[in-house]
Amino acid sequence: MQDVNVVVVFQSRFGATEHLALAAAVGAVQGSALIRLRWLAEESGSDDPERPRMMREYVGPRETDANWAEAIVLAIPDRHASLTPEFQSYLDSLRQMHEQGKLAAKCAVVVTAGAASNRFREAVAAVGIEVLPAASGADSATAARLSGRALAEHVRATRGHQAKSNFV
Amino acid sequence: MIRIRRSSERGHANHGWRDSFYTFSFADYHDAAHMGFHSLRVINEDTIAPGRGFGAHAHRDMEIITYVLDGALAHKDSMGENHIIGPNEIQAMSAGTGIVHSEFNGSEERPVHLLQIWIEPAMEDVHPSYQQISFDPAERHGKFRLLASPHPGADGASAAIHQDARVYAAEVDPSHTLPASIKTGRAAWIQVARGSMAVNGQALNQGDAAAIEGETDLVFTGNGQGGAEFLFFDLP
Repeated sequence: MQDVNVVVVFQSRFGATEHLALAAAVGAVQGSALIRLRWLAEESGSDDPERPRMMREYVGPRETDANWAEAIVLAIPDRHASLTPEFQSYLDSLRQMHEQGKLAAKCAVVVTAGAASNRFREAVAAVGIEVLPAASGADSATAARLSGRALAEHVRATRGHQAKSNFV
Repeated sequence: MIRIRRSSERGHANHGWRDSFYTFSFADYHDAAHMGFHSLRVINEDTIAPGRGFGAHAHRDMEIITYVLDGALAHKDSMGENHIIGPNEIQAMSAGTGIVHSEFNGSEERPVHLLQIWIEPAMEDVHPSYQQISFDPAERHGKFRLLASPHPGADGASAAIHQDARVYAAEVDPSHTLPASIKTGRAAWIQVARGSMAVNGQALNQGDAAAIEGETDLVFTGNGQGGAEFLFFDLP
């Protein structure tokens, strides 16, 4: 049985978007995916109280993660009107990988707590990979979970993977 | 029949920040002869350096019990649970349809020493849950203190797991004995957490284990040097 690999990349200063990222990761797991969680630190958040914990618990996204993953969840805070420089830089790195043919057949979904998802989705689509619409739910965490699950199931359906996994 | 699994025979991985002994195959340690015992799938003995731990990772369809011997373990998960557990406490987590959690040493000064146990559930896709149980160490002194079972009762004294297994902690004093029985058709696993003891005359030291099948009467005897603390798994 071939697993679906999903990397969840998120940016969070106060824990709210981390919560969405975890929910999306759970959804991917419910969709029988293997997951990696990667945190993009914000330079402007160097004094944030959650920063030491997040620095301890997460590592930043690497090219090997995008190579490993068949699908990417991008959990983006909506505190800003536009993407943060760190997230824009990360998307630029994905675009370069895509241009090198390293992201062929991969897809993504954007989860966010606010109404900015369409704008962020367009920014991610500019990378060149397929961006699935986010699921809707009773709250943003539920929507994130359903989005993660739908992404994993989409990968499995389009790759012909079998349902159910043996991972623990 | 009683088969002894010596501490020194376990898998071992020392990553600097984490020193782990694997009773059964786990991570990079693979031994086809030691993939688990009945529904017991994992017993890892971990010593984690101050401030270090396991970043966010996922589990599915597994009953995960953590028994802290020394120090403090900080747990944070996708269900919103955020706790620190220490000695005389257990954490029991039903991963069910899927959870994501992190586990870190809750101290910046002292290592945390723990046993992590995975039991395969009898059913898949249960709703994920988290339980934390505290107990007085006197409750395991010279007797078996139930930690987890499928039907623990409403008093919250022990954790509920989705398997017909019972997990107990016990301490036996030097030269004292502690009898136990196993129902016909069931099996038992003994894991020595601390000290030295014997089960039906067979000596066990810290980290040793005993796989027991086809026996109904057991006698645990504390070693004269200081007795022992151990976990007793009654398994289908």
